Amino acid sequence: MEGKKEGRRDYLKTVGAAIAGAIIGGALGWVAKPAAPGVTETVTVTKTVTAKPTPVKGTFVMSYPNGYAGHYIHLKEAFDILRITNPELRPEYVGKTWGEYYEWLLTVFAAGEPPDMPMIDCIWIPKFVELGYLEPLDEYIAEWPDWENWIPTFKEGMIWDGHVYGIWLNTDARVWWYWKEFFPEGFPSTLEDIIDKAKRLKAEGKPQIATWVGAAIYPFMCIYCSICPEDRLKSPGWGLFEIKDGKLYPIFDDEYGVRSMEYILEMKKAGIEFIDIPGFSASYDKFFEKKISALFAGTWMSGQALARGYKYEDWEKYFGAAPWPPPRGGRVHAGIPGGWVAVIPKNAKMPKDLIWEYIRILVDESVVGKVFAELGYLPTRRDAFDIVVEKSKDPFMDDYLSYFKNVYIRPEITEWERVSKAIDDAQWSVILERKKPDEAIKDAAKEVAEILGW
Amino acid sequence: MVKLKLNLSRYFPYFYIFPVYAFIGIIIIYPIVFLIALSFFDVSLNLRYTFVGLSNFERLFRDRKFINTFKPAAIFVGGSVAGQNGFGFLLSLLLNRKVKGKEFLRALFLIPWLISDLILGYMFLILFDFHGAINDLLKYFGFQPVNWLMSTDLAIWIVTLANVWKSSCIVMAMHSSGLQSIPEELYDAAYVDGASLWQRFRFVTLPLMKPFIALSLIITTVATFNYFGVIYVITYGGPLDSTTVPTFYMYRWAFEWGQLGYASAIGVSVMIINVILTAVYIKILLR
Amino acid sequence: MKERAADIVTYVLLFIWTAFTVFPFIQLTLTAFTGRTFITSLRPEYFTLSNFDEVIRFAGYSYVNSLITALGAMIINVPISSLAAYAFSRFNFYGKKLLQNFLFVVFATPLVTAFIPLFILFRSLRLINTLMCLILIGATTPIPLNVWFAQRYFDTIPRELEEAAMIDGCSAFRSFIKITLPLATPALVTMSLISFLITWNEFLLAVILISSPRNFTFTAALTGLGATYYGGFRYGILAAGSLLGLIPLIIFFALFRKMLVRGLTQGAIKG
Repeated sequence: MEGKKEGRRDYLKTVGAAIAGAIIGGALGWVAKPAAPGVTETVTVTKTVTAKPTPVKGTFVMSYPNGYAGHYIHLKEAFDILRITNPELRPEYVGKTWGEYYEWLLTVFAAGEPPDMPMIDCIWIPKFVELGYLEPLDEYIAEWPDWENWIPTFKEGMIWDGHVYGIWLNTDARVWWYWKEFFPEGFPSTLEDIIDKAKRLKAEGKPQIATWVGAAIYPFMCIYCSICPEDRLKSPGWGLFEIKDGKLYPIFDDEYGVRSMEYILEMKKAGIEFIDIPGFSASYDKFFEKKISALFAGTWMSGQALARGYKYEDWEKYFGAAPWPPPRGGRVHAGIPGGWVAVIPKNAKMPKDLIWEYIRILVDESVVGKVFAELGYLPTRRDAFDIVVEKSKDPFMDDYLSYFKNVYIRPEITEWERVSKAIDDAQWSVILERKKPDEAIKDAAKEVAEILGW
Repeated sequence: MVKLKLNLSRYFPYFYIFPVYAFIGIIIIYPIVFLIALSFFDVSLNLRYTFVGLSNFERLFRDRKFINTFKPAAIFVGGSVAGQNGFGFLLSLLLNRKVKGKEFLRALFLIPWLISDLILGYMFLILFDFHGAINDLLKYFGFQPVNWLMSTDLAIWIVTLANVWKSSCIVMAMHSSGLQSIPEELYDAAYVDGASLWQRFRFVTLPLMKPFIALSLIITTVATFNYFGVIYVITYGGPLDSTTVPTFYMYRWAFEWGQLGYASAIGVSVMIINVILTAVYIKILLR
Repeated sequence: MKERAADIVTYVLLFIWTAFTVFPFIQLTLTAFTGRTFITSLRPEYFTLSNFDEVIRFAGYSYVNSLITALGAMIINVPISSLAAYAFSRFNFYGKKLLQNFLFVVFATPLVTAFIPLFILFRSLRLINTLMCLILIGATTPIPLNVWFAQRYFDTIPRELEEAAMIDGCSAFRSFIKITLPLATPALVTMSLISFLITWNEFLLAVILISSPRNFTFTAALTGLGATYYGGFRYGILAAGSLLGLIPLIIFFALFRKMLVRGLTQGAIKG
């Protein structure tokens, strides 16, 4: 029966194809090793790292957001030092893109197998604290003299119920990068000037100005905080909330909030491009391909330029960096720093003492000073600033650090995800012209009030 | 001896089918029951349970955002069902004629269904991004580029298009066998009686295909109503939630905002709607 | 005359749909090799293999994971589906209609809605984060489809062959293995391919259930290269990864085209 033979041959073909596929896949897997960009100088940590009585064996898992090579290099530098006293420790680095990093962290913590030392965005920490995933660090800090060197905002930001839950590793400032060829007169110094400039660029058919939109910061808070009363900036959430009956209550739908939304609408009408979270990474490409003439992102643009082959010496020829300009009559303020925090998960597989040791190396000022000088992130401890400035070849470093004079961090609330979504939706409904500015911000405030339990 | 054999052999079939139902029981049935149970609790991501009775559902009724998910769902499901069934049926009709390379085309048209959601999503992203291929073509021919994925009106249609592109072939496959089972003689008889192409279609093809069409309508509706893979990849809920369908809303509540109980309540509601839809369909179409 | 016109219309419509189907793939391939999405402005010097290089470097290992998962699901699914299909085709037993309808209902219930309980279930079984949970899911999802195909194929195999074997002393089961299965090879191949591909393509559940990178499947690992909506679009890399993910599909299609189509559109056609 030839059908049988033919059938058997076909089945063998399937199996053969599957095996061939397995071999190819295995070969690919063998070939695949994560690319390891290196930092040139070697670092010796000057303070003694107390060696554990017995070196630890096993795999030490670290996770980081991978849109930016600097984090990986930072983790690796510190790990190489940790390895000196624990030679049999193997590293595993997990990098995820910013947007899915949060969901991944939640999933991996919920599954009970968190990384041993994850870097967590400062705005997500409250959620992890609430879910009980993090180990309090008070005991370790009590014996750690370095803690004094931390800038106060970055210390207090990590305290809940009197316990410290994380060490703030790095931070950044939000910054405009622009191509000098399109801004021969320099970057506009007021918001109104930006709007005019955008109109002119459009009229001349030149690439447009673009800003990120999102996490309630871009650009709403940039505008809002530069026009609201100064003492309000000291209130929780940097002017967004006030405390009523022991709870946070949204106040950003006042006249300043409405005015901020109106500015955003004016920006849109002038032709400024707004880039949503999905487009963040692509926006770097767009900037460096000169499809947009200016981008409001952050100090990590330095790293992006480096990654694309621009050398420090040439930067000032091509680019400039500028802070967000206030509306006429408003104040320049520092921008809202973000940053990443080192934590110890309760369910971590490695011994917690080892993880603490790693964190200490990670934030040691010599490590920080060296890594950040080469990669454009900003330190959170005062004594590292000098090292960074001294070593850094980044021509914009002084500017970045000057923006730092008044830093305020975002409100540390567990529902920040939903709150910022409400404000972002308000911005987008104005940009997409589906709602009027005052309507949008007032609806957002109503929603936020509901989220916060009012 | 013979008696023993007879007795046992009565139970043989159950041995044959047992593994299949065991898997279904554990992987499909148990989770669904569990889902219903979960919807009565307030569960956070660290799996601490608090019984709350019907309050999740109460909250769901008052949730404006949930109600708003039904508009994108209507477009997504409506558009997908219309497109998949329309194009699918048309394709199966076309390929039922004498066409050169019929087999090859059939195989080619099946390919979209066999690719992963992720890849499907990327393909359409690359096409419809503001600086992407479709806009490039528009600019080349002198038209204005459109911001497809940033538009609260258009985004849902792009996602629907992706779904239609992917699954029309399944309807085509489902109808192919049905079409082929219609005996040639019926068409010949009609032709001899002077029936035109359209008349032959209306009086021979359509009535005989009715059960297949009904079946594929039901299946495509239910499948699309629960599907959010392509939305996750292309728009993630879309500009201003304009592509957030109920099951996607459920995903966000579970894995982004960490309230598994509330998400389960959404899931249960979706399942109930599924059942109602199917019952309505069966009543109307399979009289 | 009208027939001729109908033929022309047929070819035109088929051509349009072919173009519609093929266009995204062409764009994908172009983007994978050039990193650009602008059809009208491509230049030969843009062609490069660097996207593929980067994908392989970062996600190569996950390819193996995907293969293991898909193979595992296939190995489990095909035998049990054939068994059940054989029973439905040959035997008549109490509750058969009910069980068949039940299978249909299961087919119409997408699993994705139950991802929360699945997550919790696998967590308590300590299978979370392993490939096993994806294998189990991958083995279960194609069951209704495969049982349906196999049953229809078995229906076209005459019973006399098995009865002849049974008269010669074979038990029903042995005759199934020795006689029916070999004859049903096209159906088996189709079932294998379907279960392999469905599991290979599984995306959402893979992302939800597997969080440890060394266990990622290929599609899940691809999202880490700047993939999902939140991630930003490095088009060239995504496209390159997508093409690599299509390789098994292309291989199987090239090898088994005839059989696949026959299996999928099989109706009253005798083999």
